[in-house]
Amino acid sequence: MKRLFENLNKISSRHQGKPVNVQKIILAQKELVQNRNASLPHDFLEFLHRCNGISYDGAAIFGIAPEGRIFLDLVQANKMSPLSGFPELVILGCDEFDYLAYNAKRHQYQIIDKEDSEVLEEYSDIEPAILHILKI
Amino acid sequence: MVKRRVEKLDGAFPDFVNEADLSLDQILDTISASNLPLPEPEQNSQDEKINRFEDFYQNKISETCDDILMLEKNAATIVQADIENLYKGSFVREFAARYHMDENDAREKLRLDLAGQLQSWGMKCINKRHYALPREIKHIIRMDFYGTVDKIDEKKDGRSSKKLSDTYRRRSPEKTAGTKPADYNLGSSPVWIVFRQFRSFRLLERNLPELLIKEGVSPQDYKRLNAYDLSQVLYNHYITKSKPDAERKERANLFLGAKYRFVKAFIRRNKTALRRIMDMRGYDHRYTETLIKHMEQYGVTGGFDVIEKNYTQEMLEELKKRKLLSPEIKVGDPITDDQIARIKAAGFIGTILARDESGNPITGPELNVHHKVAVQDCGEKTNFAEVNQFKNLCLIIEPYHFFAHSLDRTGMANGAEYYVSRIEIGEDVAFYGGFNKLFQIEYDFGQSRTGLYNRNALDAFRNSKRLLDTGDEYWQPDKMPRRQKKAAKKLKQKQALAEKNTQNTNNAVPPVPINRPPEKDEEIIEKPVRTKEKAAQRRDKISRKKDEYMRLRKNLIEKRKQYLTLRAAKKSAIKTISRFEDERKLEKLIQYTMKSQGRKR
Repeated sequence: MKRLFENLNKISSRHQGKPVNVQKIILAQKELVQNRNASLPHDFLEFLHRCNGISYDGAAIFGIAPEGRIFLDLVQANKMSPLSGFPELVILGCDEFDYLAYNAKRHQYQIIDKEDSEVLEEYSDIEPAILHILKI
Repeated sequence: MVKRRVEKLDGAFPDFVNEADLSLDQILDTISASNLPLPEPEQNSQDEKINRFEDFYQNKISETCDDILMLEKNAATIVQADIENLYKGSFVREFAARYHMDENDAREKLRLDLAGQLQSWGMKCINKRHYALPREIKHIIRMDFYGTVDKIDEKKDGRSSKKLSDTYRRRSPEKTAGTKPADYNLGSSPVWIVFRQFRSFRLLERNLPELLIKEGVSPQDYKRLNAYDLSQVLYNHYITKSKPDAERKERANLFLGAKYRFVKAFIRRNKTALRRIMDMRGYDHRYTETLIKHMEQYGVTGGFDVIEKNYTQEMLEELKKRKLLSPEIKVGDPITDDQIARIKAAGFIGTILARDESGNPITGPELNVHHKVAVQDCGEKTNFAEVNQFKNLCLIIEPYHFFAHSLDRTGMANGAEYYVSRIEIGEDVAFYGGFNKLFQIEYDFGQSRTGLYNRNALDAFRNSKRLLDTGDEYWQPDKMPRRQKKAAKKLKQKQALAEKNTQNTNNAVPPVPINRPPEKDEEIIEKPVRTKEKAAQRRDKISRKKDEYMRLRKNLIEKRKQYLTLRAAKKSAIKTISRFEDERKLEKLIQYTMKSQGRKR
């Protein structure tokens, strides 16, 4: 995670939300489970403790109701996505073409095509997955 | 839970009005606010000033703008609430119970309501036939859009859809020993034919044979490569150029992507209009100027720091304490780029950020590049480059981008045909900053009408084995000057003759496949073969004619020289004569005056 933030800090041109408090994270987790999504992975929770979502050059990692940026809301994005019917998945971010999702069944971070829902890439670690979607 | 969620979302949209004020009556009240009767003239002096004739229209206009913005924000909030309800299970269930319908029907009803709502605001939801694109073509479109190529790492832990072919895996430098770039017929690869539809890849085409030789891909193997193989060939070459010392070597820069080119092209033509919209939407002008600068320079639309132009006392105190500035710098001095870079490297960029009245760093809207016709729906196209053309792209502010994708639906089967639901944004809209047309910029990039990509012309030109000097998407071959045409024709004739002669000497005729129509050159070969003597006679005749022509040409040049010397002599003679005549005239005049003076005396 430290290495990820070192990489992210290299790009000044990004919107980065302030860290979220634990209560908000718990509420969002509950809501995700209610909506039949997988719960957030441990690595991503750590990420949320450091920053509440990032958007950079058309790509975004979602946060929990980030200020002034409804489209970056994790719960909202999961409700709206065509992948909402898959209980093993939770969407964590997106770019123009793909979603970044966590597959709780396979314990993998997946890059999934927005339209045909094909899994394009899989990563076991969060760092390369986030860097892939943000194109850094 | 729901209540808390609403609270959260209200916080997420602070500049929009509360949901309690969203009723139509309220909205209408906000519109009619500007139509209220003007106050009586005997009110206080400030009001008198407002109602003065010269200030009247200005006030009226600004009030109307405020109304429009308020209406815009209200509409956005309504749409946002509708989207939220559509995707909220509890709301759909409650709705279904209230109207005694199935949950699916209730969702469809809500969906239709939302579509109607969006349509009234100019975002038309349409159902259209879906033509799926093959994965490899999508890969090429993405590369063109971003201008980068990803490394295909087959050894990484997770699975990947990008698979290198066995042909590419079996490559070796021995296979290309002695192979020349001319041995590759680039048009023989069906994959490269798609690549070369994109202007940016066409520009890279010249280097491709050399790269293939370097990689060890023979001309025969080249035809069997897939899109991932070719992108890996490009990656291997361009990674060394783009990031020689980088830690992460996962992505190589090929060229400026279509996305960035579009942003640059857009801002070059619509700077003033964008300034107007940003101003109307109430964004800080410092943000707008920084945005425009970044759009012009890098083609990016967001996520940059807005830096103050001049130093303030607080900034100087902080930065001088950290020894990041020299002591000579005073309050009001401009902040230079070098200084910004130094401060940023030291991690104190926050000190020089431009701030609003409440002391928060200035921010602006999230701007994204949106494909009007989605990449996935472009399967019926023959020219896939059209997907990333400027006419199919548009800049869109969030949350409107979010709205534009709110009704996306794929895979709705109707027998064997597949349909998708999409929200359509106007064909000529290049910037979408709100439902109201005032927040939109229409610009016809003109590619569809003025300079259509003429594939036939281009193919014909390519078949004539002439290299492309201009890699423009819509480029058509220029008319050749007559002299050049003549020379080319002569050269062609000479080459044909030389070929015929060598073939005659070798006495070998290449076989022509039966199922293929013979080419021009081959037709000539099929004609009755002349004897050596006839060829020699013809050569003599040509050389004689050439000598005659050269003699005549020499004579002509000499004659021209003579003519030129004569003309020069004549010109100088005329000059001397005229001067002489002038002198004579002057002399006569002097004599005449002297005579007349003598007579007077």
